Amino acid sequence: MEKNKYTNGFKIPENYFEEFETHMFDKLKEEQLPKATGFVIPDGYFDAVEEKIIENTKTSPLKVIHKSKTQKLRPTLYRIAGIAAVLAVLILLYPFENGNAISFEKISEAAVSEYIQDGALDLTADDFAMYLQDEDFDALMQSSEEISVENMSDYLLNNLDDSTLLLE
Amino acid sequence: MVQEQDLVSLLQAPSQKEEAYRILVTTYKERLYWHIRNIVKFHDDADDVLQNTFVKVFRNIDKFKGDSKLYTWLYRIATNEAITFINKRAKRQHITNEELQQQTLEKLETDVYFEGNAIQLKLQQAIATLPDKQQLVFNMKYFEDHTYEELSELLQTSVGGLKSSYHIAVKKITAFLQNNETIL
Repeated sequence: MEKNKYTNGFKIPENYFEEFETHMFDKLKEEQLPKATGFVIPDGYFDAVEEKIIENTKTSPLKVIHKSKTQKLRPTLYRIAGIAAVLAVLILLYPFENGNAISFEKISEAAVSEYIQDGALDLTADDFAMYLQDEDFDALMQSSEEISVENMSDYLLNNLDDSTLLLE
Repeated sequence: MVQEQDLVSLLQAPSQKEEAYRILVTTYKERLYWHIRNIVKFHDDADDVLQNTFVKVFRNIDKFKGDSKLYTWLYRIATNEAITFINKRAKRQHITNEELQQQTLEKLETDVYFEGNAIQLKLQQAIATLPDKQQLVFNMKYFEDHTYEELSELLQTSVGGLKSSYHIAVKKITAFLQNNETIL
């Protein structure tokens, strides 16, 4: 082929003609595949789902997927476990004297959990941190460094409720 | 048709949120649904994930800074929600994602919302043999008709990388179907 045929300024990708047949036959194979998935939807689904979504925004901006009881209770359980840990620290730091005074042992477990559930115990993470020494923080830092990436990603997968955070 | 930028402004204006939500849902529900459905396969699951996706979008709309297009942001949330949904289900059943996918395809045959013929079912099986990213690229290019440029933005992958990924996917799928004597 004469070289001056290609003086119009148009160029082609490298190896275009050499690879053309391969691409062409790939395309032919692709043409044989079914054009649709076969998935169908219930009648009127898209109108109904729009109403459901708008309704969700008015009521509660919570997850739609129904969670198991354990999953629903998990945040509360974590909170209670945290508070229990705080109480344990308080008991260690302030040993109760024996005698007529009310001791912690005399309070039933049910009463403590009722007290906590009623929201009467208003402790924040800062309150808890007040009772920790520098070495306690060191120990906490050390143990968090031992968390494997796998465990961390498992935890995030199960507990992170905002998937948009994983996107950015 | 409301322009994307105008829609974002409406969504972020407290007084017009409800109207804007409705426009957003009407505009994107079908595209996002089919995108999700191609990942999760069952209608009921796609329905849950679609609703969760919009809930996430509404909840985070104030954080949307417009660095990417609104539709890119929506697709990323939908993709992420669908993949998270599958991962969680596999984890709950103590099986791998591949095992879950196999289980899903076995059930698909009797699903009332799957009307595919034998070849379409085989095609789904062939897609399931691909690595996750290739599945995503194939479904979005072949069934959802995205251009490579759109895919590049959505999946943050170069056009060249996507083209080669798609061609490899097509080759694997046709090889699978040939080996299973589904197509010539």
